[in-house]
Amino acid sequence: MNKKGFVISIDAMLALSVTLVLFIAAAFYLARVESSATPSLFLKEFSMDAGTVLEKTRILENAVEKNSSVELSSFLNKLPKNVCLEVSIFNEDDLESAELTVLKNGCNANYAEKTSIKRGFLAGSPPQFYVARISAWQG
Amino acid sequence: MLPGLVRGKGERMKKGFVLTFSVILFVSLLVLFAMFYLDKSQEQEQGILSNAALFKAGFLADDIEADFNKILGTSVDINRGNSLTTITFNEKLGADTNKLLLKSLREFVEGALASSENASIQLDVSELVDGRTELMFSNGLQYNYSYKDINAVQFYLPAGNTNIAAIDLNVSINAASISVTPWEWQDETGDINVNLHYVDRNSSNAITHYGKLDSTVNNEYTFTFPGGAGSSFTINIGNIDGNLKAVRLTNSIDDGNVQAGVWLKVLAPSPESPLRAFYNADLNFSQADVNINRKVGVGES
Repeated sequence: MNKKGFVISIDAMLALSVTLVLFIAAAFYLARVESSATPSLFLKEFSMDAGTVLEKTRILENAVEKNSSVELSSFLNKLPKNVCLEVSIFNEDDLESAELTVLKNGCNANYAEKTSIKRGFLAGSPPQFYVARISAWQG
Repeated sequence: MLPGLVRGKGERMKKGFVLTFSVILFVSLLVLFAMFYLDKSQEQEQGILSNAALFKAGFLADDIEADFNKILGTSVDINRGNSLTTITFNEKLGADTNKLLLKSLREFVEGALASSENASIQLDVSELVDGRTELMFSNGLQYNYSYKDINAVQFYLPAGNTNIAAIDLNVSINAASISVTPWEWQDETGDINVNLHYVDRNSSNAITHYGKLDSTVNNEYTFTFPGGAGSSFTINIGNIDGNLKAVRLTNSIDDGNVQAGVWLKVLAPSPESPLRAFYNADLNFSQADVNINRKVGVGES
């Protein structure tokens, strides 16, 4: 009787161990499932849309011609709360130092997590080419 | 031991075995499902990332086209209906921006923009910096802007008939004309409906008239302005150099500051496939394994 009980206990422990190992394996695979591309793609698309609107509503052009960030700030501050945006404007002759940089109110620059796009535009008289860099991250 | 009791124990052991085996089988299936799910999500992630490259290429092409259209200044709106398509042009004769700025755009796009995007971009504008820009339609219609000596636009089908049924034309000029030489309306026999609205700073020469014109002849309306001989603004509708049912507007006023605002709407037969408008300029973009080769687009309907 004692031997039988011992065998049954070993058998149960073994079954439990196998089940546990399989559960851990399933959890291991499921934990590796993550979608890092989706939020980053959303931010990229958001930046692209913002860039298109900024150019086509002449906000970028006005910022350069009036040397003023008022319209640009107003546009950025109306964006959804969970998205942070920073717009920097460069002259085509110097793509290293920005002529103007505007950050959305309430956002801290997060250069580790940001996605950036660039959009060329025409401004000034005589017209010159500029590049706007639009960086986005989750706020 | 009673035989019934032994049989009862054996059945319980069988039940235990079945239960253990079922649990292990279920968890094994769970592991297989987790592996499949992980594989599938990684595949989807790759798909999303490859789409991102396409989005970026499309965005960059749209960016270049926006700058391109801003320099050329012609606004085009196409609305394709079942049988008729409305094409509307909004134009300034002369233009606000020097069209030769296209050369600088090419340098900017191929240089600064391409390097900042880490892409290879070629923009061929050679056909547009020779004194005439050609805006082409996928059904063969064409809209030219000549800017070398005089400012003129012409909407026509090269060596053909546009078959337009109606023209709506609004012209506004920031100078005063001194005389007018009108065309002859043919309201009884004409085959093109024309709605003409013209205004300049001499209110006595303003015109608002809806009538018909004969498309087989070159109908010409001339507004003469101060300056040398030929200082005028001319509207031609009909047979222009063998191109039937064509429209031409010419600003040859002897004052570079005079600008004619033109709003031209034509009603043309609808093609079977979508109607696309594009400039005679090639845009080639390549980044990693994404390539775009196309004419610089303006609109589609």
